[in-house]
Amino acid sequence: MATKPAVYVVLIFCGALYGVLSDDAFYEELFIKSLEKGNVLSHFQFTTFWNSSISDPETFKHYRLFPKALGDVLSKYKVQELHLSQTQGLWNYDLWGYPPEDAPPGVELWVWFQPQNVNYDQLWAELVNALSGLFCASLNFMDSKATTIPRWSFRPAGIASEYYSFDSRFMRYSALPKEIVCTENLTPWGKLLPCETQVGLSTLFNAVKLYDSSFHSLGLHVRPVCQDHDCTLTSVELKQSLSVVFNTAQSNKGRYSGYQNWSFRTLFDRNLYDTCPMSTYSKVYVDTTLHPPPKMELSPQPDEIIVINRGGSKHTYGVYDLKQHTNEKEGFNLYGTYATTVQYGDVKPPPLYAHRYVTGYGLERGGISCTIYNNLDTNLTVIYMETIPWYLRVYFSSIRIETYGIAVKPYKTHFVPSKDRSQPSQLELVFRLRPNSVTEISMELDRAFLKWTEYPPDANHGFYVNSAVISTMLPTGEQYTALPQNASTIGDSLSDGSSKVFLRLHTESLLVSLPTPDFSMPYNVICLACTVVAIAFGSLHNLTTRRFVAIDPEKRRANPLQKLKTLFSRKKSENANDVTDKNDKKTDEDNDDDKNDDKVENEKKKT
Amino acid sequence: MGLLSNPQSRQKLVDAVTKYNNILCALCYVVGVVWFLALAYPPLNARTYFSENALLPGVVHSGFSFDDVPEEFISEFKEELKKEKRNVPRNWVYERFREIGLETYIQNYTVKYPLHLVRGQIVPGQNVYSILRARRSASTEAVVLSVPIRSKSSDLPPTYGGIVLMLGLAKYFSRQPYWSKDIIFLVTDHEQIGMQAWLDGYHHVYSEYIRPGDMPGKSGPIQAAINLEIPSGNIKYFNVKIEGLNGQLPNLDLVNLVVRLCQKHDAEIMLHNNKDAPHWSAETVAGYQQSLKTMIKMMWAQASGLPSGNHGLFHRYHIEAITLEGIRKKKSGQISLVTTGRIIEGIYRSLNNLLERFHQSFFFYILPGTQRYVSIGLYMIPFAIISIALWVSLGQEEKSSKKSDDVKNKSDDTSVVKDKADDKDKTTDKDKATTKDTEGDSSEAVSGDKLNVDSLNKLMDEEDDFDMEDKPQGVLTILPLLLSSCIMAILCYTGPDILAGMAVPFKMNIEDGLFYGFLALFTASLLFPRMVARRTAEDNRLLFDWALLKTITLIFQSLVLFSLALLNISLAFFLAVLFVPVSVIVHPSKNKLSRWSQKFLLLLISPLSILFTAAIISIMDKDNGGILGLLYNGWSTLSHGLLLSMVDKYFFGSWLFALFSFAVLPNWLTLWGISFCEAV
Repeated sequence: MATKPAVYVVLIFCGALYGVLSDDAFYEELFIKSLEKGNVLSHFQFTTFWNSSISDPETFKHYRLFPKALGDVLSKYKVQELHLSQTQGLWNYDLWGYPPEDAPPGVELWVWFQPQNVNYDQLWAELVNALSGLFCASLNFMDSKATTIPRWSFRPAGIASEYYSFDSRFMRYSALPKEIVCTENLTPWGKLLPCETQVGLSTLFNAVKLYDSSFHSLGLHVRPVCQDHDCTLTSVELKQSLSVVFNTAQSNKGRYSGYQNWSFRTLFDRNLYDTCPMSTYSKVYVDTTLHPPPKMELSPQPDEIIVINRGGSKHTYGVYDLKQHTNEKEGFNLYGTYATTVQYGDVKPPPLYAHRYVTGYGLERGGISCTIYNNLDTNLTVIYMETIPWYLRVYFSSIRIETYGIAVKPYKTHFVPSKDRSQPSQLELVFRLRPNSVTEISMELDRAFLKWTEYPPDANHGFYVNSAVISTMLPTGEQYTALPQNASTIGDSLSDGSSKVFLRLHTESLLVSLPTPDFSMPYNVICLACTVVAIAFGSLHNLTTRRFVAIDPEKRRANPLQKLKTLFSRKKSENANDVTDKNDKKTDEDNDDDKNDDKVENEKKKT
Repeated sequence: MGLLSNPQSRQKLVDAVTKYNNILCALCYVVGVVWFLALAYPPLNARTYFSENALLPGVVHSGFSFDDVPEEFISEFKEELKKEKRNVPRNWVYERFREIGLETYIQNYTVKYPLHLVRGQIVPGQNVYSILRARRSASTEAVVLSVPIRSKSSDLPPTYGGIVLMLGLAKYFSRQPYWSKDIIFLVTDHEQIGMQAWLDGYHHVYSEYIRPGDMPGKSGPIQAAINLEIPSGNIKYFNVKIEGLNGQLPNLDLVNLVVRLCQKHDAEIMLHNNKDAPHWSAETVAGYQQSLKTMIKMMWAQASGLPSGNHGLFHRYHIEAITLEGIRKKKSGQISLVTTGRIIEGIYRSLNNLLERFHQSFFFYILPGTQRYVSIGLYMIPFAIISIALWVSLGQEEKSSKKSDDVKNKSDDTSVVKDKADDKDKTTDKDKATTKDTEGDSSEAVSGDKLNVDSLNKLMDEEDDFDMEDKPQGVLTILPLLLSSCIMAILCYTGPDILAGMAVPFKMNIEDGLFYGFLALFTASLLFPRMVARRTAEDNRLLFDWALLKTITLIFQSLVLFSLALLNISLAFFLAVLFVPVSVIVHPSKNKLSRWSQKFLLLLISPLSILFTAAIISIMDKDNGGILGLLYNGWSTLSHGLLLSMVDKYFFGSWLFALFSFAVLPNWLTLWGISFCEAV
């Protein structure tokens, strides 16, 4: 009995030792950027490192900071990389520049599987169902009708061999623009964090405020990264991010109405009291590039101001170490205060942005058109990817790329036509944008008439089309806020001095109406159909069963009364008079109806 | 169905129709017209109701109020109007929208007038629009609030109120968190042309005459639109305008929504300045008259095929839209701009609730009041009865041809069952050949009604058998008439371009050039029966198989009327009321009086006189100074209206002109020809 506590002590010690040795690390960061026209972006990023290989089956047996729920899914389906985004609203590139993490409206999922000898379609189908349960989203709708295999647009984001990263067999991409993101998605997502939403930066997640915003995006990214410079060992990186854009100029009331002032209190309705004890560091970065100090005053003053040159443009950040600030009892509240109200003027658009829309009217045919604006004075090669559901039948011959009316020849084209009810059409184009130009990609399509069971309950709402994806290497870091490929935390990205940045942007998702039957009147339809069938059946039956016989006009036809008389007389002398019977039969054959009448009469008599 | 399969009973029906032909025709016509007009009587129509539950009209509390004083805005706007006599202060509007913090754009467009109007100059224009991005969606859907901006020199009532209201609403709306559809605030220039340019630009549609410029900012598919024509304050009542291009109507739910919200705010709402008959007197004679007046006015507006406001152009794009017009009375007007704003706020909150496009309620209806409607199911029956008169009168032709037949034929009639069966095959074969020869019209007739075709077949067959020494038959005899009326139709349709081209070198006003050109064409067509008359040595009487021609004409007419009724019931009804009796009556006659009265009647319903009458009715409300003044003004309205309908054809794709050229005119011409046929 006395040995028992000792055993526990040993066990606890071993556990602690294992924890230290396993080299897990967790970072929590918040990036705040004041955007134009009264908007403020808050981007939370939680990064977990796990120093072990994702392809090693032994890895997913002992967990510490990495969420087990997710780890099990990753190991079961042999996932190499997983990128999931759940977004509400549309990122406004013209006004807000580039987001820290680009995501289309709705849900987007792309996965690279580890090379193995399996059917990847099957694996994908199982994976989306598992993830669907994990994230409380309808990812199970990502079936073959919604899944594509892009060839160039989505390369592995983590380390991968060249052979692997050029083989798109291992990857699947799908998006559900219709999916609505709400608190039910935030809760399971938050549960994957080491501190959940109990302590640390994640306590700021006030669902009421978060979902009353102009833009809201949850992201989850798993990828293998290098452990060190030499890259002899890999580790698993899990990056969870939440971006939210508030329009403070319009939500501020009273004295500050019209001011872009923001604080933790006004944005999230609460202060920050602590940091996650598991975290290696916990920091807030305020991007003051756009609104430098005289315009926006920060209080308290940042611990450190970092100025970096990224892709040729200067970025200034104020950095706060939360471990030092959150000791106070009343909590930490960060203010950004403006001297004047928001002046609405022209906003400098980012170097590259795009808009996409449906063209034409009517329910028979239409088109999709995407306008890409290049504001740089250099050529830019872009990859344009479009996924169109099968019920919009794209004419490949109608796909046009034009810059001010001059046709642009794409370097590469990858087009997979759709198959009805099984596969969407997929288009990837690689082409060059001229300096300071507006390029338009347009295509024409037919709208299919679905089977009546294929319509959703809100058939007249319309059908969604995925966002197009544009990928490129930008030669400038202007308005760019995303992390570089080789960085894992926002802190890492502050030392980034690369001259080119990778940009992936999503255009608007589209709503297209298809020809829809009038479901609201099934009763009328049934009535009409029944009437038509009855009328058609009656007359057709009559025409097909009637016998047409030639009769001699000389021979007068017996009128019904006479017939009846002969009938009676026949009944009376049925046995006696055979000859008259035969004669009667002859006349009866002249008219089928009469014959039938007779039969009925006979039967009546018999009964 | 015994009718189809049993030759005996079919024959009986045909006989009956033939026998009581005239009475039946007259009866159908009278019953149809009376029934149709009676539909305005409340017990015969239905009360409107909401089909779309998602609208939830008037449930929310409206909180709209102006941040700034609207009067100041109005006076500022008026100042701006004064500054530029000819241009509209769109830059002022643009700046105001930007101050609110919305994405604001200017759309440039150019208008190239057709028919060498304004000497082929290209007229520029600009629309200002502003998009409020909904927070709760990804710009996948939008609703539009539009106001036409009018310069000081415009004849139409000013819309300051609408513009100021729109600015106030934009500011108020932009602070509300609940929007799930983008709201587009649109200020259009040049009335309908500006609207068309904007819609074309939005949907990426390019036409030859209105060329929209690029639109940098766009949103998703537009679900609904409200166009405001609101003068500044002191509004007495509102008019809801529904009639769109080519007689298209918005979904009844949208109309109901507007009516319901106006009622909620105690604002009186009317149709064409006509009050609804009050509940207590709705079933009295006075109440019926009131409803009938409203219904006729609504039908009149729909029949014109012209949009009654800027909203009318939305309908083609499957966007439900209405115009809300405020009528200002300086002293008695009680409705303020704030109340109007709250009505519109309520409308947009309801539209915001919509999950699907408007699809539940009626698209085809007639309104005898703002709260009562006559659905397509109700009005099609009396209309069908009117048009059935045309088919019934086909029996008349049978009768007339029979009369001239031999007596022997009659005696055989009952006993030739076998012969008939054999003959049938022959005749149908023969007829297939002949019908192919004739026109699209007669081949349509085959599918149109078997009854008529049969009687027609028989008619021709009998004529083949009993060759008359004097009476011409067959398709060949009527071909010249048919062809020439087709040529006239084509001339009429293509005329405007040629005439306008001619007017320029003659230094004529385009309007006059067109008008007199058409008058000449019409006069020429009046004389055409003389031209196609058979020029034989002994006589130049006009002889042809008039019965066949009339059959074709009547079938064609009924087809046109029925298909038109599905698109624009009002126009179909008015045309049917005018054409059906005359077409039934017209036949060659030896009686001079009857001939001349027929010609007179035909002249009365000639396209020219129809248009002239329509022009006079449309200006009847105004003071014209006596009957002569009225006639004169009617004449000038006619020539102006003709030009406008032509311009509408080019700008907006109105098919009124095409309808008159290709359906009404040739149909009338063949009837005119029949009236010149010599009776034998």
